[in-house]
Amino acid sequence: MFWKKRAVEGQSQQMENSIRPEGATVSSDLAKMEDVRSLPLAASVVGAIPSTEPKTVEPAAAGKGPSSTSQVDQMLAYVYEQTRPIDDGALADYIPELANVPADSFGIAIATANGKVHTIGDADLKFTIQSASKALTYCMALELVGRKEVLSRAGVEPSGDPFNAIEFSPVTRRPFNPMVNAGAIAISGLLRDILGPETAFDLVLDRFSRAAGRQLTLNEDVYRSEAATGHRNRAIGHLLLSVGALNEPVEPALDLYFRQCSILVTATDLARIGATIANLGVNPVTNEHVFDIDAVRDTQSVMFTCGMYDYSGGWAYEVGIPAKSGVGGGILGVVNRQLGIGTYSPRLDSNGNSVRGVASYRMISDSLGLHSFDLTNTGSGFVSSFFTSDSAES
Amino acid sequence: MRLDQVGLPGGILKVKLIGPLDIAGAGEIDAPFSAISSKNNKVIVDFKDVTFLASIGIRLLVKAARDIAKRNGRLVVFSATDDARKVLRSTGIDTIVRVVADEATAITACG
Repeated sequence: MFWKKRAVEGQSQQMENSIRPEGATVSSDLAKMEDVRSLPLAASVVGAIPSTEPKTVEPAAAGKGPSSTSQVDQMLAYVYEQTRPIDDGALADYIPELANVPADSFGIAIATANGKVHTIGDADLKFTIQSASKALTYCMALELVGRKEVLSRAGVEPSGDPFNAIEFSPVTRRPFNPMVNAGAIAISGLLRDILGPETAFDLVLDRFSRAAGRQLTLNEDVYRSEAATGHRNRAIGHLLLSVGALNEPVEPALDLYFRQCSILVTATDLARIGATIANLGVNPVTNEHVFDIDAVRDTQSVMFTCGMYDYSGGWAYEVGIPAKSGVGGGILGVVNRQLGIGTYSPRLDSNGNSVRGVASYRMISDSLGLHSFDLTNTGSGFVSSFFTSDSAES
Repeated sequence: MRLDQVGLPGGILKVKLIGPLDIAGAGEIDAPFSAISSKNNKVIVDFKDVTFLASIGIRLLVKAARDIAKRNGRLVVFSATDDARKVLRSTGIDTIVRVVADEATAITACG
């Protein structure tokens, strides 16, 4: 621990009683913790030879190896082949430990909302989730305390500022959105208050694990590196405290934030987490209800408008799906009701997004017509059924 | 992807596409297909040997059909495989681009 423990039980209990919606309880999360420990631990793949052949894993045969090459696998192979030669960008180094990863690693995974997974390259190589965690903690907070309380801590407007900007909305005096550091720290503070400083991280890790369908773990080295050098985030934390968007003490909230960012995932995990969000919060493989159905919608909305740092507008313009990137090199993407997508390549552009990841998403979106306004996207199914009589009359 | 073209009576151009109309395929025929749509008002497209249809390929097709329609011309797709027809139907593209069963019907629809 890098913070001094202080008694906050009374405070968290008070908030728990006053703002938690009916049906959302800490005890249910605590009960689930017992179950998640039985989830399988993925074998370490550090040093493994990456697969440049696409793999498909059926839900019933998860972990049993590749099957025949599908059209999706062919598309993945083409995207991988086209984007792999890109060696622009640089490793994140503001957290010293983040620079200690193989720079040329690259993996892509697509998981469907019915549990099938397609992968290529280093899709099972572990890296830290970093800011992609912000989408998941936001989703948890929405479920635990509801929209009103969450919106009182962080807005939903794109900021136009870098991810680590020390700047709040001049109107609301709150962070612009929960996808930048300031907003995410405010949300972590909220979770710390609701879940309790001693158990909050375990419950966050548990929820992330359930979304991925396997037990995830913390990278202690990255966590210590983040905690030891996160002075800018500490400054943000104290500024949040000064405007009332974070309760005292600041350090446990920051500690939760540093820990959630240091959870190890793979591109396949990100795809599976994305598929859980896409599948209305239900993990399509385990059939577990991981996230609240309303929270999933709100989370995707913020991912769509704010998820890619300063490139969020460009991303909406070119790729057009909800996504959240992390400076660890991962990008988590969601295609509502259909797919989760995960990419990993640690070289980042000037906005902090994975260069190969962005390039891959552009191609996958073009190929599958994923953009919200693609000509193959016909929008709400309700319109055609509600306006049936209009069609008949015309 | 291969693109063959042959002129038919009545000023109709028949275009045959062979292979997958995926990202790579769409990239390969983008320029020649644009040239065709900018110079011809009656185009029928043989889809019999289109083995895969990605969104980017559909966009290319719709763009060409729109270019031709602006000049009061028509682009008609024919002989699409069951899979391709299913994609065109489920994405609503068959309401934008005319899709018919065979070459004779395509010629009639184009005339």
